[in-house]
Amino acid sequence: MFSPHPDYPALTRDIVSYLRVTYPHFVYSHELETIRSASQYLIGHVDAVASVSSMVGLQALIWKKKIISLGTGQISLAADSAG
Amino acid sequence: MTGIEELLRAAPIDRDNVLLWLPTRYYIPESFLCRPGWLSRFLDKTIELHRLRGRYDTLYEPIDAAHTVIDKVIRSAIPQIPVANSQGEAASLAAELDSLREDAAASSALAHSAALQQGQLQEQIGALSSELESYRTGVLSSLFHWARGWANTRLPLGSRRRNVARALANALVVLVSRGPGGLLRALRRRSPNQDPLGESREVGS
Repeated sequence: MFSPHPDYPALTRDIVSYLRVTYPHFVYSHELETIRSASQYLIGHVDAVASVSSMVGLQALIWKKKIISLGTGQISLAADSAG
Repeated sequence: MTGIEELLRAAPIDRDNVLLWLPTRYYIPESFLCRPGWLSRFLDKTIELHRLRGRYDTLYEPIDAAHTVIDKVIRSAIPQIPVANSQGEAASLAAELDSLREDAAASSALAHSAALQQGQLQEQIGALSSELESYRTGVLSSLFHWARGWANTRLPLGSRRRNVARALANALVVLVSRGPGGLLRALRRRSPNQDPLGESREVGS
């Protein structure tokens, strides 16, 4: 499940359509854009969190979720997988 | 993103140390960046580590007492999940949910308001402390350097008046910046060849 950044919602409807076709497991709801920082409300329901340098990574630490760090950032310190 | 299945099956690793380290040392609150005393020490240490090619993992010192930082994080958290601004059925459900929450919210509103006011008061105390620190490190420092320059040019080198003036000025700075306890400690540490605040006398220099 992808959740948008509160200040930089990068996914247009065309991109979402492309991702849904290309990656069958991709999950996204445009309603998430109406809730500021929606990611933090989803953490409790997921198995792992993938983040670049978002504060969601810190919140995933609080929830003791597996963390995948995409790139190098402060959250790489705690990531189960970094790349 | 490869090997996710194995990652999910792997035993969890306790990372509470990182969870404590990040907010208490790395995520520096904006208010601290406006404190000249703290920022000056941070920049000095950064330059010194770079000069000595030191390890930057020693750069980050505790921002404040851990419980103080954690309390601040908790106070700034959003206590309730916001309702989406969607239309149609979702909006009507949201309105119904709002009305159900209204009674419960009313009872917690006073407590929330009190907590908010307490937070604002603590912010004001922080701002006042910052201003006081700015005064100590800014105005007082400038005044002290001016007075010392004046004494250096007007009073003969090695004279008793000059030594007494320097000692009094240093004592005043220590008293204001470190408090009476700091002044007493400085006086106890003094050596026979030093003035009361640890600066070498200029006799014979």
